[in-house]
Formats: sequence, structure tokens, C-alpha cells
Amino acid sequence: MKKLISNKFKKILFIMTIIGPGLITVNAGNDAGGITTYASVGASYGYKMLWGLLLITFSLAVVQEMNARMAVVTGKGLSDLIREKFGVKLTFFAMMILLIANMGVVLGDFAGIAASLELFNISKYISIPIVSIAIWFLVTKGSYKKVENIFLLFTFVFFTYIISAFLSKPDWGNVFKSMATPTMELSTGFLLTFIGMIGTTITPYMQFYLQSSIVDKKLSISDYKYEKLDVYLGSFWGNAVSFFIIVCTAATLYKAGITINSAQEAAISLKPLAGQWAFILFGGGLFGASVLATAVIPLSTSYAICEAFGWESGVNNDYTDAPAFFGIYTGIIILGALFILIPGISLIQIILITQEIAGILSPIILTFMIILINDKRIMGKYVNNKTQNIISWATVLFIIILSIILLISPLFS
Amino acid sequence: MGKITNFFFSKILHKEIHNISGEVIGKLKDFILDFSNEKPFVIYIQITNGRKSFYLSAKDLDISKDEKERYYIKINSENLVLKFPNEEDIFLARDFLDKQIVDINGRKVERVNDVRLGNINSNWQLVGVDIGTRGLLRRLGIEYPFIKLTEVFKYQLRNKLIIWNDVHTLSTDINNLQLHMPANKIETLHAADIADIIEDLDSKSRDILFHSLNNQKAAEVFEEIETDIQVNLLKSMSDEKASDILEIMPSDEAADILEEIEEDRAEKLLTHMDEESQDEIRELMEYEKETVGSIMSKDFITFLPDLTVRDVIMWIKTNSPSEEEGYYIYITNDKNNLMGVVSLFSLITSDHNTKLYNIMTTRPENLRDTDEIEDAISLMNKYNLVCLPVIDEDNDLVGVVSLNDSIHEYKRLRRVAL
Repeated sequence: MKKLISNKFKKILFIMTIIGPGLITVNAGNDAGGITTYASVGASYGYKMLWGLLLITFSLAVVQEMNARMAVVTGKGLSDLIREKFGVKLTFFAMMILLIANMGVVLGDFAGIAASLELFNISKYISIPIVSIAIWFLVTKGSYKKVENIFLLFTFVFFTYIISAFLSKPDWGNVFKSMATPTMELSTGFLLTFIGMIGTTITPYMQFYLQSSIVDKKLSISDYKYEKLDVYLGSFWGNAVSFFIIVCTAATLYKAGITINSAQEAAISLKPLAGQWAFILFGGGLFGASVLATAVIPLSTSYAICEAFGWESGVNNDYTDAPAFFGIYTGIIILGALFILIPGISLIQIILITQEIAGILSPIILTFMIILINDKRIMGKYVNNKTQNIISWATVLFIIILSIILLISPLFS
Repeated sequence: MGKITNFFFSKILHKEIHNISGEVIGKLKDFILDFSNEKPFVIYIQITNGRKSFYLSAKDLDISKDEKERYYIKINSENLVLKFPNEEDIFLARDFLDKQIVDINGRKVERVNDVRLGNINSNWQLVGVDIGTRGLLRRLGIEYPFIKLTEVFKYQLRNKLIIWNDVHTLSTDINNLQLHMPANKIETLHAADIADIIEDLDSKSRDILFHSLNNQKAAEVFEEIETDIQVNLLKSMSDEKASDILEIMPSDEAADILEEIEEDRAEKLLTHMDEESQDEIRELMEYEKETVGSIMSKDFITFLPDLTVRDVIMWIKTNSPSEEEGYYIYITNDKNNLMGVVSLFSLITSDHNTKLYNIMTTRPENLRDTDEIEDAISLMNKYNLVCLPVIDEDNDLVGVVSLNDSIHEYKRLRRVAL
């Protein structure tokens, strides 16, 4: 009897360990860039972009499922696969794109650290040097895993947006109507915000990170059904939080005519729930999310690039054994921190712009992925089916078309 | 312009190919290799012309270059031998370039940045594999500007080549490649090194490499691999192979692994084994994780006290037990109760006619099977021993625990706890 119970328990534990990472990834994906972008979507355009969020939720689910499938079938990371299929030149190109996009996201998250601590009256000239050095040490000295959960706890603050959204009494009829009726404004502001929303949802770094973390779980194809569930759950759950952030800010800030120019204004949307505690709540959440991302993204970038070029990687190595790995990692952190220390720049603007850059660059990485996953030599019978191809190619085309419209729209106005 | 006898593959890849009268017939897409010899060589060239792709014999392939490093490729023959593509063909660019290989000499997994070919006995053979940064730069087409740049800093950028004899291929796309491999180079490495290499690989290559080992080597390697990778390798193994390997392994290690996999499969694998190993492993699997019983070895030597040193030495000579087993001889009575222990050292230094009870250490330090691993380590530390006998509740000798296994397991448990 005891054996029976322990077996069942083992099975549940096993499924939980499979399901965990996807949910965590999505939660960590709602970083400073995500929170700020969604808040500004709601504050500046009300419910108008909800239809877009709904559509890209499906894109995200399909894209992340592709990553999971590639991870389980090949046992290789995305940059490994890119290198093996496309050779050195195209790999170099893909890695440059990844580096630029990720550098942007890291910048956004350093800005998030600075902005959140400014809510507590801590100057960025103090917070940024201290936090960036602390992160560098925690990650390279291997003790990061122990503190990761603490920062993850911080991000649970964003679940309060769900309650706050209900308390702010939005016009639900209008909310659902907006989700079903696509509207588009041909203004630069609208297009940029829309691309930013896509960029922060389908971030290039996420594809590399998710695939590597699933590879690390060393799953076999028979466990894949659980993993698939995890990835789908993660995508929908993550975007559900985004949805409530938009609804919440639309019902409070948009109604009051406040656009987001600082973290203070972004925090106001939590007032229906938290009153004057809103600043503390928002600040804490933003800080936790930003620290998580600044710890994870430089590291995952460095792993991806070293993997692609066959350089030694891993925090367990010495600096002399893996100079490229530590060089890239340290370089991203130093550059990111220094940029934020430039006097007089708008932190919120940096966060928003970097997400827009990620959005414009995301179709490139997606294209690499779609070609890879349709290669029978690599995926065997696990290539994409028709629906998956239609959705993923449509996503790529949609972002490209948006970018082109964005580029030429000044000519018409 | 002069003919060359060796070159880097990337220098001619995607370059134009000329026929004997100097007309361009297409671009070089890939080489097809003959793997039936020790040193693989090029037998066919894949050429593309627009959307068309065809294969020509590589027999009369001439490559020359001018002083400006410009390559000229020519097929120097009137009749071009055509070949039809085959599923089983092994390609150089498709199957090796940018893929991972094992450097036998460096004992590491590396990525192929470029391949060096040489003309030997009028065949183009694979000579070596470039794994260095210079190979990457060459592929990017910025090798020479970069060399100029590094010269400014008084640094010489050298090629990092592995000669073909030290290359173990891993290409995962072609299933029949392993059959083409001559003597398995990888088996010359120490089991612990092979285990490290296997841990570095992706799951597919892991399976391929592991399955290429003979059962004896595979068992040695398997012992050294991380637990979660062990479990995965087991999943992809046939029941027969799995139980063969587990049977060769020390029974305590086999028991550890079987506890990690699904119960049905474990049971199935156990029933495939011979009676003796089966019983030993089942017994060990009964013990709780942190206990001495779960890591003790069932391989140890016992004798009755009234035998002589000569008897023991004769026995050792004929049965040649493993080194680790032979450190100590355990003395038991006819009920298998532990009475004493004789070290290998005192066996050698004693007279051959001495009875064992005269030289044995009575009431030796020992462990209960339910003791914790930490107790084992502190006891061995205190009395300066490398091995301790383990007894059960009836005072029967049931196994021995080595310092090595204790520390290994202790470290593993600590890691899990963290």
C-alpha cells in the first residue's frame, strides 16, 4: 500500500516538474518591459488592442509549442540547430539579431530596476551599480538559484492586477466587444505600441531560453504530452495576466486621460485595490520582475552565442576556460547598466522603445525556427502540421507588414 | 596558378566548377564520401546549376589557386561519370560541417568549423577537422583582415586542427554511419572520460555514442554517468541490452539506477538477469536511500578462520578478484557471522603456513546495514580505512562499503538536498 501511494506521488511529482518551467518562464517573461508595455497599451489606447493580444496569444502558444517539440525531438538548443542547419554566416546574422534584441530587453529591465527603486526614493546612481554588481556575482558564483525564488515571489504582485481589474469596474461588454473587433489606427504611436506589445509577448530571447530549459529537463518523446500541456497553459496564463493589466489600466488611466510617462503613473492603476499602498506594491513587483530578467537574459544570450560557435560555456568554468562566455555575459550587464546611468533619460521611454525593437526583430528568429521545424531530416515525423505552419507564418507576415506600414506611415500623414 | 594538394573545404564550397574545356558547369554544393576505408575520401561531387542538382565522380577533380588565394576548380576528364543520389550517401557539408564531433585526444565534444582535405594516392582524403576561431573567421570570409588585425597586437591566430585519426563522428542524421566506422576509437578512452563526453552531448548523439560501445565498456561508462542521463539512456535501450549492462555493473550501482526508473520496467529488466545478480540487486533495493545498505557492494572475499595464508593466496591467484575486492579478506564462521578481517598487506608479510585466525584482527570496525552513509565516512576517516564490512541484525556479513562509494553517494545526496 505504501508503495502504491509513493508511486502515485512520484507520478504527480514528475508531472509537476515537467509543468513547472513553462509557467515560470511566462511569469518571468512578464518583466519590466512586459508590465510597462501592457500598462501603456491600456493607458494610451484603452481596450483598442485587446483583439491583437487575443490573436498573439495563439501565436505565442504555437511558437512555444514548436520550441518544446524541437527541444524534445532533437535534444538540442535553438542556436545549436541554427548553426547545424544554416552554417556560419547565417548563424552569425541570427546571433547578432539575438544580441541586439536581448541587449534591448536587458536595457529595459535595468530601466525597470531604476524606475521601481525611484518609487522608494532611491536614486538610480546608487541602485544600478549596486544591483548590477550583485546580480553579476550571484549568477557567476552559482548562488543565484537559491535567491531566484525570492524574486519570483515578488512578481506574484502582478496577479493583484486581476483583482484590481475587477475592482476598477471596467465596462465588460465593451471589453469583450473590443476583443472581437479588430481596430487599427494608422498613427506612428499606435503602430509602435502595437509592435511593442507583440515584441514583449513573443520576445526572441524567450524562444532560446524556453528551448534550452526544456532540453535541460532531458525529457523523452513519451513525456511530450505533459510538456505540451505545460507550454499551452503557460502561454494562455501569461497572456491572461497581460489582459488584466490592459483592462485595469484602461479602466483607470485611460478613463482619466493619463498616459504613462513614469512608474508613478503606472502604479496608479493599482489604486482601486491597494489605495496608497499601490506604489509599494507596483514598485516591489516591477523590481522583482526586472531583477529576474536581468539575471536570466544576459546569461541565456551568452549560452546561446557560445553554443552556436562551439565555445566553452557554463558558470562552472573558470574565466580563462570560457573567456567568450564570461565576456559576453559581463559585457551585456556593464553596457546595460552604463546606459541607464546617462543623466536625464526617460526610463519609461527606454523600456517601451526596447520592446518595439524586439518586436521588429522577432520575425527573423521566427523564420529560422519555422524553417528548422519543417526540416524532415531534423524533425522526422514531428514537423509542423498545416495549422501550425499557417499560424506561425501568419504571425511573421503580420509583424513584417506592421513594420512596413510603420516605416511608410510618416509619408502619408 | 598552381595545383594544390591540400585545402580547406570552405575555400571551395559554393565556388564555380569548370569542365575540361574551361566552361562553368555549376557550383560545388557538397562532397559525397566513401567511408569504407580507415580514411574516408571523396568519391562524388554534388554540383548545382540553378535549381538543378547532379553528381559527378571526383576522380579527376583538380584544384588550383593563384597567389591571391583565388581557387579554380576543374574536372579534368572528357567523360563525366554520373551518379544517382542514394539515401545512404554520406555528405561532407550536410553531415559533418557545423556538426559536433568528439576529439579523442582532447577528450571533448567540439564543433566542426571547417574540414581539411588532402590529395593522397590520387584521392581527396579527409585529413583533419578545424575547430578553431580561425576556421570560423574563414567561413565568414574575414580570415585575412582579422589576421592583419591580430598581428598589430603581436598575436598569432593559428588554426586549431584535429587530425582525422582522433575524430569520432557523431552525425545523427545518418543511421548507417556507425557501421562504416572502423575500430571504435572512443573505446580507447577511460570510462570516466567517455561519461563526461556523453553528458555533454544532446540526447540523440548520446544514444548513438553509447550504443556503439561494447557491453563491458558500456557498463563501466554507465556507472560514471549522472543519474538523470542514466535513466534516459535506459529508456532508449532494449530490455536485453539494458539487463546485460546492469548485470555487468556492481550490484549496488545497478540497484540505485533501478530504483529511479518505472517499477514495471525495473521488474522486467531484473527477470532478464541471472538468479544471483537478481537476488543481490533486489536485496539492495530494499534499503532506504541514505543507508549503508543501499550503497554496499556484494562483491567481497570471505574465508573460514582455520584456513592458511597459502590457501588464500592460491585462491586469489586462481580467481583474480578485482583490485578493490582484494584489499581485505573477511573471516566468518560457518554461520556467516563476521569474526575478523585480514588485510592484503598482512597476508603478504605472513608465513604461508599461518592460520588465518592467528593474523586476523578480531572484532573489526564494522557497520550495520541500516547505518547512515555519514557514519561510514566518519568511521573510515577515524580509523584510516578504505573499506568497512557491513553486518545485518543477525550479525551476518552482508556486504562491504568502500570509502570511494560512500563519498560519491554522500556528495550526490548533498547536491540533491541543495
